[in-house]
Amino acid sequence: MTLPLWLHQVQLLTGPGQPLTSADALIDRGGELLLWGEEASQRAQALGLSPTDARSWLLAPVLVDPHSVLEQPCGGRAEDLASLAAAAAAGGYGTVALLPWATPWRDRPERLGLEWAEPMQLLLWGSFSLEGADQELAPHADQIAAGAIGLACAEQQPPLALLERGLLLAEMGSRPVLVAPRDAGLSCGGFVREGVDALRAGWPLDPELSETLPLQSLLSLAQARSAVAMRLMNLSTAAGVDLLAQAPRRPLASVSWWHLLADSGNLHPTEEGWRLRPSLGTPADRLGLLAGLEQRLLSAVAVHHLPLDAEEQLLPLDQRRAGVAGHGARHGLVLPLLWQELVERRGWSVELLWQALSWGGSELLGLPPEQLSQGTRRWLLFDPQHPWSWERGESLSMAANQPRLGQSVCGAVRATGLQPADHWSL
Amino acid sequence: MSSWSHRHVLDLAAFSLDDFTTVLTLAQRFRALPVAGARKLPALQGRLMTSLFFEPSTRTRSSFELAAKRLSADVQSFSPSSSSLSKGESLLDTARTYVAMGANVLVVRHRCAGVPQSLAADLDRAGERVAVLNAGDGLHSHPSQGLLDLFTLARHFAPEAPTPAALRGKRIVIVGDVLHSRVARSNLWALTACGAEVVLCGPPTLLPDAFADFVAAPPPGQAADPVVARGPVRIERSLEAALAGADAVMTLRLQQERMHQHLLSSLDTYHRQFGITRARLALCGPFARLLHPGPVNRGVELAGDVLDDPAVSLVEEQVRNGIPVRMALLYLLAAAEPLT
Repeated sequence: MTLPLWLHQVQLLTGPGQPLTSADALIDRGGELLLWGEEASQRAQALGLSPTDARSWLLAPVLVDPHSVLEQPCGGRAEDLASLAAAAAAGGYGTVALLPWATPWRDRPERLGLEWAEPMQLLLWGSFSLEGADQELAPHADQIAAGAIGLACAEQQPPLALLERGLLLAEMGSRPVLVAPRDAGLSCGGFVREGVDALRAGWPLDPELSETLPLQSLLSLAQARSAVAMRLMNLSTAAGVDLLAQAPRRPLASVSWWHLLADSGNLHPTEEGWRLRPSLGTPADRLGLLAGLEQRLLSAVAVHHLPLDAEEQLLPLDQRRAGVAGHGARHGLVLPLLWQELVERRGWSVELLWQALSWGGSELLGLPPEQLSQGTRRWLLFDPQHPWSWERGESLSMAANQPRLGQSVCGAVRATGLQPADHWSL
Repeated sequence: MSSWSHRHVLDLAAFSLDDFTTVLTLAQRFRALPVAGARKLPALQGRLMTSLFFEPSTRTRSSFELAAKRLSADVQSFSPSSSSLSKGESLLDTARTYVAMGANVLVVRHRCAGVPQSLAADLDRAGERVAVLNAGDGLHSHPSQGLLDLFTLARHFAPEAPTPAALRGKRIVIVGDVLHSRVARSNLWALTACGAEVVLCGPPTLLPDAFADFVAAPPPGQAADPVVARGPVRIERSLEAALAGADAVMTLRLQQERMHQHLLSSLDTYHRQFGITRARLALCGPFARLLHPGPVNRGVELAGDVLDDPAVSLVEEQVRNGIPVRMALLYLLAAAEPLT
């Protein structure tokens, strides 16, 4: 018989509204969280277990990614269903909701049949328009009936007439509708927000108006169609956050993890991560997004994993598709990097970080928040001080557009109940 | 020349005042060589310069090739239409192919900003002993043009000793489509490094206000500014105000496609507001001269009679000076490298 793991005095975060405490915890080698608190300590001693000193580690519910992209679940060269599941689990993500941006576009019930094995949870957004072409509405009610978590638009705001009609029909009921506040026409082909850093680097400029003008329309629409749960996808500018703050009725909104870490002033010109949609922001944009997340104007951090294969990655930046991968590193990347940025550098509480990375994602998807319970496998064990080197060989994802490769990272997901115990690094 | 430490030439933002002095001094020596008779120097004999022009160019490429030949280097050209890029070969694969053929200097032009930097970084990582010379990347940088403009101005202000000191305190006006000009960006780094005051002038669609802070910090990825004190940069929306008392005027090519991008209402209006005419030149200082990186749209950026007047136009001089400046760059990058 394999004995359980006894975590001695681990930092424990059980769920929203619960304070961070220090307690013992007992975890079955099959991945189940057996007990925590005094009871765990007593049971461990009764079993004669040796304690693992876990004082600097954090035991908490799994993370939730409200939107990512998987174009070809079977046979994809950049990613497939299995590699994404392995990569997400390694990073502590127990739930990933996939956008309909796929080949073929996931816009009808028969295309919504993807699943992951428990305890991982794969959710699928249905499509707002047929083939994502923004010409006709997709069958909303049928997709919801087939299990879609909600409906998502393509990379930019659909024509307002189409959007307004779809919201008026309200076939999605209380399920969320995810819309990107972006007008590609106003971007003028630019891919870095206007600012002096982008001028110095010589990148084509994308004015903030390409976000704020459609955002104003969407905020008006959200007020006019208040029965529908509109969600805003990937806000990316400080001006956008300001508009959201002023809105009388404020939809839940996501921000991508990379926009919280990188900006046109801190990214080396040859680094991965310049080509994004929405565009990479200025340092002021990044500060605005961080403040918006801290004030909970922004609800959730999305990984918005958009994997490219090695061939695409060879193209010059202006010819490459926009996006970065976020799921992939064996010890996770999003959590360690955001922990360093938000908790270590900016003094955020762990609860606030989990609100952004887990509970906010659940709320955006219309799900109950993740919390620890006896017998659950949806937990993660994070060591904020573990240093490691992020090399290609450490990646569980097939994506070639992984940012920060070759750099050292502080903080590692050491174990999760999502993975078998032989994947744990304890 | 002992202070020269650049393995590649990618961006003039990385140049110190000593670097500018080195290039200009060397260019002046090459400029003094006779243009007739035995013109070749053996300095780069046995070296190979390969031009990788992923974007069409005639003038810059010809100038580089002539410069290389005058230093006795071998010259090889790459043309995308006859390349295997269409078969999915990466830029790095292409570059390494030419390195394997023995290239000592890759002169690279690409429509996307950052490509020469990425190539240089990839080749360094691969351990290749090859220099990358940026011949223009997107909107980012055109170092050799920036240097030849600087050399031309320095020779105008101090014909016998064209060093950066000749530019100190001079007021240089750059007029036109600054936003889409890699030449203007390189000029900004070069001119301010030498202590010149730069006045930018153009409509807001082609000259965002943020350009006023352009040299206030180094570009992304560069930790520190190698120049201790730069000359100031300011923006003037009125051409007349910008030209008042100027020592030189640099005009920029206006691409016709800017009309289709809704950045201008008409070329006529643009010429009326920002075109350089003889009357407007009279607003400048008494010895002011006119520069343009070419090719010129006559009647748009410049009135034809001004362009053709050797008393005010340095445009042909710029073309002439391109060769010794590029000779200097090739020499600095390749002469010290051991032959392989």
